[in-house]
Amino acid sequence: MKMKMKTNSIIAIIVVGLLGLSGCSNSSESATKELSSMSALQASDEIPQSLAGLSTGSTDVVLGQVVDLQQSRKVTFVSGQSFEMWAVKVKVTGVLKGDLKVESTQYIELPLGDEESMSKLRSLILNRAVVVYASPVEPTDDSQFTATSMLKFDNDNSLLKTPNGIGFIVEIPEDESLVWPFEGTVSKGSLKDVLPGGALANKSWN
Amino acid sequence: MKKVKSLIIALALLLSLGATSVYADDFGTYTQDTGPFADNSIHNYCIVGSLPSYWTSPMEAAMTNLDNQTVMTTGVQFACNDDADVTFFRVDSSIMGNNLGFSFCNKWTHISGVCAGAYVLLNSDYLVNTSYRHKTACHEVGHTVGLTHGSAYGGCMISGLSTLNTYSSHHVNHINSYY
Repeated sequence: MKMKMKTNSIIAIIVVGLLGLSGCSNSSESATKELSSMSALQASDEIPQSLAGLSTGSTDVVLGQVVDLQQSRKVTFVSGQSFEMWAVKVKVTGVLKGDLKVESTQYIELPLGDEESMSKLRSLILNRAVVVYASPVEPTDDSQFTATSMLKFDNDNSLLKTPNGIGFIVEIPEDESLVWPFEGTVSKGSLKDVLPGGALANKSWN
Repeated sequence: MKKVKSLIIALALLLSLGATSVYADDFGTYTQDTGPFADNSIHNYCIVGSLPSYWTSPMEAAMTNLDNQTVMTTGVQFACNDDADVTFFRVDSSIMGNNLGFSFCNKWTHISGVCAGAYVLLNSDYLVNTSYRHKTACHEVGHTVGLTHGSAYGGCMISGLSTLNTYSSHHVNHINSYY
């Protein structure tokens, strides 16, 4: 009898341990996990960089709230092929660098992704607070393609572009986490950590 | 008691197998800088537009290298259409920001996570010499067959500017064991 109890105890300990290791204690998929899996939008080759470096190379660093995600430009090649770019529409709530106005609405073009993935991304980031490192979109001088705007602008907004996936950070307050959807990366913290001079500003990527 | 010992040994073995998978890198998962699987081992490509040879050669060399190093078979399609497994585009920073290269699946098969046609974009503003172009083409083509970044394994799947333009044996093994 004593032996049987001992056996049962050992098995119970092992089962509990295995459940813990496999993460079964939290079966619901959190917003953080869903959003971080959005790195499947694309696979990129990037020069290793930090947010501090990105800040130096960006004209604007802003805090904002996501209002929408929509197609921004159609890139058409002389041979006929084309694809669409996507921009997140952000209401600016704070300006850390640059001349953008608080309360203005800006379009921030993101790294590439297909329509289905972007549609999913939209549902996951709508109304979320974000930090964006960006610069105005420059016209191309490449004769092989043209990029035509698909956006309607009014007086207070413009099209900017985040230089890479590192420069677009979403806060998930319920998980106390930050997500880089285009990098598939998660960090504990809040948006103040990813502002210039913040706790994660000097973390090197890739 | 013997039964308990056997159970513990079996569980320990299971755990050690799990631990092994933690250390292995992703392949074909389409997550975190990992490409999806290609639909088969025939990997044809085309190049969009009329580009000079110092651009087309690195793209062709990356595909030839995939053919030479692995079980994949590659061939050029002179017309870019839906049949191409890899479609190369040369763009610039106005499209790509400061990324060197991108790849994403533009056409999925009916099987989840298996890609029938990938777009590969190369940034002309950063890839300023043949070596860089060859490396990044090799890197992005690697993503189109399911490879992930591989600083631990070397080869062209490392991130950033480099002159490495072949796959590490680790990555070759991934490709050869799947296709």
